[in-house]
Order: sequence, then C-alpha cells, then structure tokens
Amino acid sequence: MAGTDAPYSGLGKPGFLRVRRGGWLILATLIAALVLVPLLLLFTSIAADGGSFDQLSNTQLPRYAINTLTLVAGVGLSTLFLGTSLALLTSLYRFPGAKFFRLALLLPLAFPAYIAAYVYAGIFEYSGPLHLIGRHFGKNDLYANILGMPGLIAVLSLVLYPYVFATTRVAIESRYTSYLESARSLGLERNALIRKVLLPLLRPAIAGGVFLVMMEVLNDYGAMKYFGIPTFTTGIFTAWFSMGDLGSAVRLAMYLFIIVVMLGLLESWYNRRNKVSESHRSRPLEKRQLQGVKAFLATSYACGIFFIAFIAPVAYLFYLLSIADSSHAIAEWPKLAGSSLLCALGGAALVLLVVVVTQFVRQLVKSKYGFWVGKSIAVGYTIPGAIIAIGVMLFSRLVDNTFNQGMIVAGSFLALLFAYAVRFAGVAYQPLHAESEKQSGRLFEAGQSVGLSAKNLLVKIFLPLSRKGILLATTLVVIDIFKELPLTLILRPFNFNTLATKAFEYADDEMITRAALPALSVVIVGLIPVLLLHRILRSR
Amino acid sequence: MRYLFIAFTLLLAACTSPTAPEQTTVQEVNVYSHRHYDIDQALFEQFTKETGITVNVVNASADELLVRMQTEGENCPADLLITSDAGRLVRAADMNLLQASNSEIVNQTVASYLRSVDNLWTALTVRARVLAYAPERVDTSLLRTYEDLASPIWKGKVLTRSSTNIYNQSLLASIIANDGDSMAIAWAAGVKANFARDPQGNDRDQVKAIAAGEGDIAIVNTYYVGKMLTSDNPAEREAAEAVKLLFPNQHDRGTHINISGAGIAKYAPNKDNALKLIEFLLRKDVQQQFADANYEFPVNKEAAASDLLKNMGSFTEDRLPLENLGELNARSVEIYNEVGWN
Repeated sequence: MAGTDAPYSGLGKPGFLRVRRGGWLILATLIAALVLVPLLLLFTSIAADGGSFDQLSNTQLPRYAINTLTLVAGVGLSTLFLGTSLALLTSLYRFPGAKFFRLALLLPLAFPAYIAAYVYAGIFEYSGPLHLIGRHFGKNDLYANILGMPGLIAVLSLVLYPYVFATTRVAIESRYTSYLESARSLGLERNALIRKVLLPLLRPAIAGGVFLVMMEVLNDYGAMKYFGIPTFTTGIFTAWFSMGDLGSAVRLAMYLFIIVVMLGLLESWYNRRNKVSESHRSRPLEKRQLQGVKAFLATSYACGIFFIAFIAPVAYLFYLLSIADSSHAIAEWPKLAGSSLLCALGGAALVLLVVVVTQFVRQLVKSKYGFWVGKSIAVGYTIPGAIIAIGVMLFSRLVDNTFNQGMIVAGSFLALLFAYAVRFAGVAYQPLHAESEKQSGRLFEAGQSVGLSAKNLLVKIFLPLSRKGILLATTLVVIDIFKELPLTLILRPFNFNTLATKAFEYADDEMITRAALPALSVVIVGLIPVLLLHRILRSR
Repeated sequence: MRYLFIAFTLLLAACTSPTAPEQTTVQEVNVYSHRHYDIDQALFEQFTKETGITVNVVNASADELLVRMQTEGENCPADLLITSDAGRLVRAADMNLLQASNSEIVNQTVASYLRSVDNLWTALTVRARVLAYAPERVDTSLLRTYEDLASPIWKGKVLTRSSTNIYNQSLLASIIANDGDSMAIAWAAGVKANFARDPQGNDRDQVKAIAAGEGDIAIVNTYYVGKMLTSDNPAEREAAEAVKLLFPNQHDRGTHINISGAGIAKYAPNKDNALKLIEFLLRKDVQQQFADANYEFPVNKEAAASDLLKNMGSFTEDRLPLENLGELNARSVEIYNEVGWN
C-alpha cells in the first residue's frame, strides 16, 4: 500500500504536484477501501438471505424500537443534564474541591458499561452490601432490584456522562471566552452573560458529547442483556447467533444504522445552525468564588455524583475482591494485563495510521472526494463490534484463500488489530478532523505554496500541528480498546485472554466475586488514559 | 512514508506468525470452547502432562464459535468444539461443522440419549433444570411438574431469566417434544402470565429474588444452586440455603436435563488427538473432577456425583434424546417471541 506513494514522495517540484497528490489519494483510497471491505462483504454475503423476518417483525420489532429509543433518549437527556451542569459548575465557579472534581468527575469513563451493570445490580441486590449493612443495624429492606429500564438508564448515564462533561468543559475553558469578554464589555451582568451568551455558544460542544454518549449506548450489549432490555443491538445477536437468521440480523443492523445516521445528521445540522467560529489564546473566563450555602451545595452535588459514579462501584469491587478466591486470577494477571496492553497499543497504532493518512490526504487534495474518503473510515464506529468481527473474519478468509492455502490472517492477532481499526477509526476521526479543520488555510497552504513535498507537508506541518489531536485520539482509542469486549471475544487467537474477556467470563459464569480482580484491573489501568485525557483537556 | 511502510511490514510479519502452528513435530489439539471454567484449564494441563499433547483454547460463546467455524471453513484450525448445551451441538451438526468418530470408550461410557445417533457429538456432563422454591410459601403438592408452573394458582409467583438464554430455550424444546406444539404455546403463555417480574438477570438472581420475597418459584439449573451454596459471598450462601429444590416430572417423563458436550470439528487437523481428549474427559477420575468443580452430574456412571449434589436428591432424568432439543430450538425461540416472554 505504501508502495503507491514511494515513487513520488521525494519529489517536491511544483510540476509534479498533481501526480504526487494522485499517489497519496490512491493510498488513502486503498486504506479506506481496506477498512470498508469487511463491512461490504457482510452486506453482500447475506443480501440473498431472506430469513424469518416476518415473524420477528410482527412480534419483536416494535418492542426493539421502543426500547432502543427510550434508552437512547433517557441516557441522552440525563447525561446532558449531568455533564453540562457539572462542567458549568467546575469551570465557572470556585468552591471547596472544585479543582479535584474537574479530574475526579472524568474517572467513571474507565468503567466498561457491562462491568458497571453487574456492579450496581450487585450493590443493590438482596445479597449486596447495602442490605447486609442495613440488616446489621436492624433495617431489613435496604435492597432493591434495579434490573429493568430505569436502572439501565441510570447505570449507563453514570458511566457515560463524562463524555458530555469533557466536551463541554473544553468548550467553556478554551474557545469562546473572547465572545464573553466583548459581551461583558457591553455591560452584561455575569449571570445573564452565562445564560444568554455562553450557553448558546456551548450548544455544539454539548450536542457533540451527547452524540458520543448515544453511540456508546447503541453499541452496548452486555449491560442491556443483563438488565433484560431487548433492543436492536441485542436483537441482532439473537437473530444472528441464536436463530442463525443472518437476514434478520442484517436488517436489524440496518435499522440501527439508520438511527445512528439520523442522530449524526441531527447533530451536524444542529451544529451548523449554531456554528460559532472559535477564538484562540484568549484569557479564560474568570471563576467566581461561591460562598456559604451555595459553596456547600456545589461541593455536595459534585461529591455525590463522584461517590455514586466512581467511589461506590470501586469500593464494591474491592469488597468482592476481599471475599473472593482470586488465586487463579492473580497467577494469570501479568499475562492478562500484557495482552490487554498489546491490544490497546497495537490497535491504536493501526487506527492512527488509517486516520492520519486519510485526514492528511483530505487536507492535501481538498476535494469532495478526499473529504468522503476521510469520512468513510469512521463508519465502523456505528456498527456493533460483533457484526464487525464477522466482517473481518470473512475478509481474512478471502485474503487467506487468495494468497495462500492455510490460515494465516484469519485467527491471527493481526486480524484482531485490523478489526479494532475498522471499529475505532471513527473515534480517532473526530479529534483529528477538528484539529486539521483548524489548520486549513494557514500553515498548510503556505507550505504547499512554497512547494513542500507531500512527505514534508506531512512530517513538518501536518503531524506537528495535529499533535494534540493525535494524542487525544490515541487516548480515546486506547480507553475504548481496553474496555472492548465482543470483538475481542470473537476474534482472539488461541490461548489469548485480556482483562476484559476474563472479567466477562467470570461474570457470565455468575462468579462475580472472581470477576472482581480483572474488572478492577480494567478500571484501574483504564484510569491512566483518563488521567492523560485530563491533562490534554487542561492544556488545550 | 518509507518508515511507515517498513514498520507496517514488520508489524504484519510479527502478527501473522501462526499462533496455532501446523508443524507435525508438535503434538497438539485445538479447542473451541464455550466452557471457560478454571477446572477445564487445569484438566487440559493434566492431559498435556499425561500425553504430551498441547491443548490450545479459544473461549467464546458457542453461538459465536459456530459462526467463526463456519466462516473459517476448511481453514478452521479447531479440532474440538465444546459447548455447555446440546442445542448448539445439534446446530453445529446441522451446519455441517462436525465429523463422526467411532469410539468404543464413548459408546460404552455415555448413555445413547446423551449423544448423537451419528456419533457427531457426545455429552461430557449433565445438568438438570429444576425448580427452586420458598418452602414456607409453596405447597409442593400443587407443584410437581413443569406444566404446573402454568397453572393460575402461581400468578405473580414465578421467577425466570430471559428466553434468550439457551437453558430456557431447551426447556421449552423439551416441552414441545413431550406435550406437542400447541400445549407448548399454552405453557409459555401460562408461565408468562404467572411472572413475578419481567425476566431479567441470571439464574442466581432468581434464587436471590425468592430470598428477597419478590417471587416464590424460580426455574434454575442445579449447578448454580451448588455454586451459590459454596459461594465466596456469605449472603449468597444464605439465599441458597433459604430455598429448596424440586425435581419436576418425577412421576412421568423425568426432569429436563441438558449437557456440556463435545464434537470433533469437520476439518480437524488433529482428529486423533481430539478423540483422545474426549476419552480423557470421560475417564472416571477426570469425570469426578470435571463434574465436581462445577456441580454437574458425571456422564460416566462409575464416577460419583459430588456430596453436595447427592444432598439435592437422586432423580429420574428425561430420556428424550438430546438431539430433539436442538432440532426444536428455533421453534422454541419463535414461541417465546410469540407469547412475549422476553
């Protein structure tokens, strides 16, 4: 693939501009095609499969639709409220602990939704710690069954609100402050300023965060299954894996895809309508000190959310760990952690390769075609992991059969990494795209006009300027792969376990106490990229 | 770009070195297994020690493994497929993913209704799907069969997990086979009408719900109760001790059972080793451990069930050939969907 570019890469003379760009464009096209082929294979290989869709549509479809929409709307609204309120509070005011909470409130991001589902259900259940403690003090009814729709919305909201919190915080702190300053110089009083100027300015960032949350909800499988909520996502699994009905699975996937596309269009329409140009290097908005009751309430609110979303579940996992027989898991731990790390780093490297090249080429050629090539690689993010896994399997088999006779790619670690690239290129797309948007019309064009070769444009201008975007993208992808489950479960090679798959296997075998060690490890190791994310956000 | 290319080529080379080598010098057997218990790993290690054959394992849910085997086709490296229910083995056979093998040991050890007529797969352990109930709230003279669960007297009392679970699917399949299709629909609708709450959680959650007073009768697998009785969590032990177990249909066809089982993959590169592994797992001393650790019943009748299981009582098992469960699985899912048992 890099061969297409090699003959041109060293040439910097303007006369070769067209050819050189052509080479890069072919490279980007090839990469995008590579990412898209598994998905195309899926759809074509099962186009003919009719399946028993009529039966499914009559009985299940309305329920899937209602549950899916309720869940997406419920989690969307509650993360909107939680994320925005906490971001405003910690970025605009000073109160005891404010600085700490700016970091602390990001931490729940390290919890995979399926682990959170088991943990919260465990805390509240009959044999959970609440009930045990309550009984100790003579109170016998401190337990509740939180399985079901409201419980699921609450659990998913608690692990997903940091997306909204983070995007909103970044927007408040670095982007629009010059608007605020000019509005202030017009004599607008602070509260009115926040209400009338700041909040409208924040809308695109909030919408972006909520969109990410909704995508995560639609891709969850483990939590929905455990809480007993059938949706399009679980329906795909039932149709495909339990009923062997590929046709229905794909049609359900199509519905899911339509919902995702609609949400995406809604988000970009909304953001275009509310578009504001960003201002850089302006002074951050000054924070106001909260006093007395207000300060107390602010601290209590932030503290309460932090406790419920992070401290309580972590404490519960430690409690399980303390009563569990973890000898087996401890012996295996270094190997598990190593595999998890290998997956995350290898996957992130491949994702970056895909996204950097396509985004660079988009910048280089500035055509509609280049734009769509750059955007198309993000599509895998809208498709559930298990579906992608099958696509990658089909693709690996095709490659193996074409080039040799055995199983080389299929069942290999490379196939797994490749699947991560297909699934998570979309995660890296957003930050890199945003970063390269900012560059347009400035240095990049200046570089082009003085006849820098494409290679030099990439190495000397694009990469350094996209540094923060790349770092943010890497961090997000590493977090995602660390928590990833269905893809890894299906595609992993022989004798290969990660922390996430081990945690899931124990939980699935209903041995939640034994799941504590690997689950806690996923969360704690997942904290590292989250801390990094915090630094990146702060430095922006 | 050149560096990128070199780096990528290196990555490619590093990643594609086959993880399951095909050299004949290394004796090995590749297992695709739905069972991911620690004991399995320990027994595989013992097998390696005894025979020198390395056991390579991929764990995933059986449904996913079947799709993987199908997709990998002739290149599939799997020698042995292990599932924790009969339905999936039958489906694997239907999908033409298994091959027959004739073994005197298997034929002599495993009762005929516990293996495929075409010698495509065999059971390794047995688990029973029973009823757990609150002894002080349930009059067991009115509850003797699965069919009784649909009786209106249990309205608001019955607890169960989702119908997406294979154990519930196989249970309904056995009712279709024994009582006929229309009776099975009526049964599913009747039980659904008796739900104490929407199906949710796993089997252990149903037992805890009895202890919490949310319902009185739960449909559970024996080994989950065994695991709860020996749980790390004292509150779980307590919940399990508060319920009693009832083996349904003891006076007619017997209690519905399911199995863990194994079949040799169609394109197995190490077929002989796979058969050796099956025979090893059926051996008396291995069976004892294999079944014990997971509170399952051994299929080798010479091996004794664990004390804990013996305390649950002996029972007559439904001798319906397990093959039928797999054949009726799709119909059972349809019925659950029709009556709205989610």
